[in-house]
Amino acid sequence: MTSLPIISLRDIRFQYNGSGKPVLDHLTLDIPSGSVTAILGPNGSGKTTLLLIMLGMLVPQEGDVHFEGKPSSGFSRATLSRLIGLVPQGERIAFNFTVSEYVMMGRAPHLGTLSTPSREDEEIVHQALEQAGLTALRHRVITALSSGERQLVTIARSLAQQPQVLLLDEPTTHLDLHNRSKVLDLLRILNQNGTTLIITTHDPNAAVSLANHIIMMRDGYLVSAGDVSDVLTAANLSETYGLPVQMTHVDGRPVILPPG
Amino acid sequence: MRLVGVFHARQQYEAPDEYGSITTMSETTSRSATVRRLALFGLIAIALLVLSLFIGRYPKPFLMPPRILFNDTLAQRLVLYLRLPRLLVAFMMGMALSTAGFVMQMLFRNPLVSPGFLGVSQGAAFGAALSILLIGWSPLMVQVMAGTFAFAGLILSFLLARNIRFGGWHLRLVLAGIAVSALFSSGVGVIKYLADPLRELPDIVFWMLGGLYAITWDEVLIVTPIVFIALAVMIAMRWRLNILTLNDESAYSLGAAPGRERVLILVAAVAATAAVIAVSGLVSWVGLIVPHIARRLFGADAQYSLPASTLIGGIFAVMCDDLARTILAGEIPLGIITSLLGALAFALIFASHHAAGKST
Repeated sequence: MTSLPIISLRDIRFQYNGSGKPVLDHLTLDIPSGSVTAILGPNGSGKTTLLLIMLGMLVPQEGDVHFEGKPSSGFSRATLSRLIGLVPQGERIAFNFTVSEYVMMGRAPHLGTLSTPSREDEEIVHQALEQAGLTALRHRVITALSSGERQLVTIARSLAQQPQVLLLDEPTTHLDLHNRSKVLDLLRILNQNGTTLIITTHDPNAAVSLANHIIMMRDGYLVSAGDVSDVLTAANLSETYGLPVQMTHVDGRPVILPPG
Repeated sequence: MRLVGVFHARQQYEAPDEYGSITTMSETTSRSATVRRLALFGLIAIALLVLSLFIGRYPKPFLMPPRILFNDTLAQRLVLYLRLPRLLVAFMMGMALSTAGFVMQMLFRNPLVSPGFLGVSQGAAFGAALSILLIGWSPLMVQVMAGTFAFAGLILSFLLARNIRFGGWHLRLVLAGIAVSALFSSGVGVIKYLADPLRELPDIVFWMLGGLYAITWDEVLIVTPIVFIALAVMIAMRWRLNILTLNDESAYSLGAAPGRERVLILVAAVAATAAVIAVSGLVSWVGLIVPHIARRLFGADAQYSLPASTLIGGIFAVMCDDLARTILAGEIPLGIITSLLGALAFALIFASHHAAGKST
């Protein structure tokens, strides 16, 4: 893992229109290239807002976003979408797209506004489906899939997008244990192949099972950030969640216990 | 009953899905099969257009023998100046309404939206009625006023949606569209009340039932460029449309500018709709039902189902207009036929959709 940041935020202040209080207040952080970075924090701590700022969809009132040392605002829409992908939380799909039709949408950043997918795009989709273990489901209609299968399909769409950085908004939140481990396995492979992953989660145990870098947030400010071994302490977690959190180890892996 | 057969065809086409893991059918074969089926609809459209030139009530009801074109000058003039422009407008109207309906259903992520949505149809009706009330029956003025008020409906809906403090953008546009439609429809009510029941009222009612009885080459010249430019925009962006049905953040992360691209396609859809309803009157159900048939036959991916919707819409409109001008000695308003067939097809589709939903 190199220490050069792939995305860096400097002194970000962001406030939604009409709301009195900033969601993010003078936030500065670096995402190490090649890392799996978990953004940890309670509900409403500004995690999704932070992702959308990294994506470029939300523009902060103050501060700068840099991609590989260059200001994000200097990249075109199309270029940035080839570099940064997003797995959103709870995508609403209104039409009966098949799995492969939906995964094909990941090719959009590589296609012009007026073009249609080529043989090469089909080949890439084919590989993405195979990697995600979805080949058998490729002609199935997405709306008929389980939530775990749908999450895999959304990740497969990002595989077809081939971004350098993938932002994932609560990727394991609504999954059962089986699907959760399938998703985590797929993300591990993706990271081994060189993709930087940035994952928001309010579940610290999901974060520690995958991440090597952790950012802890509360109410729009940074509690701490750094390598898992350095910042994952009961004291930091307690401050993040505003609760006395305990930590223990099972088979050498940290396990976080909420009070009660 | 023809429709039932068509749905079975789609189900058979889907059958390999269950054996997805063991089938050797490659994606490329299924893609070229889809293109071939699309081409088939193109051929059907051309055959129907040629055939329809000879369908009518001269010299005898239903079919005119083609050879009389060589010596019967009345038949020649009938085909060239009445049937041909009417057929062309019918075909363009069907293409425009069903493509616009398809596009709007996708943009609003709502399969029950039709092209006349957002105050467009009722706006056009108000414009036409106002024109008839103020200056009497003048086809050109009726067309201009209908087209203008169709766009006024769209703009009013947008302005109102911006000021609604409730729900997301899609819901606000839907609510604004309902309110603006109701506003114009009450305006039409007032005009009908004020209209002379012997001269103006029948014209208003007849216009609102829809029909292509008054089409000449003039209308072809007005409608063609607008419809073709609008269709070109919608067809060129057909694959992109898939991405615009996703959540805003997904569409954005895939490189789209969701707001700007949606408005561009929406304006194309409304321009096409306004151009055709200005000359045809309110022809309902085409833009609602045809996109459903197209998606049933070609799947949700707009890359194939949008052009399918365009072609099937043209075919459906020409068939309905053939019926409108041949069943009775007098003309049956086209809107009555499209509503009747459209509602029947709608009931059939959703009845079979329900059954299909249970099996999956």
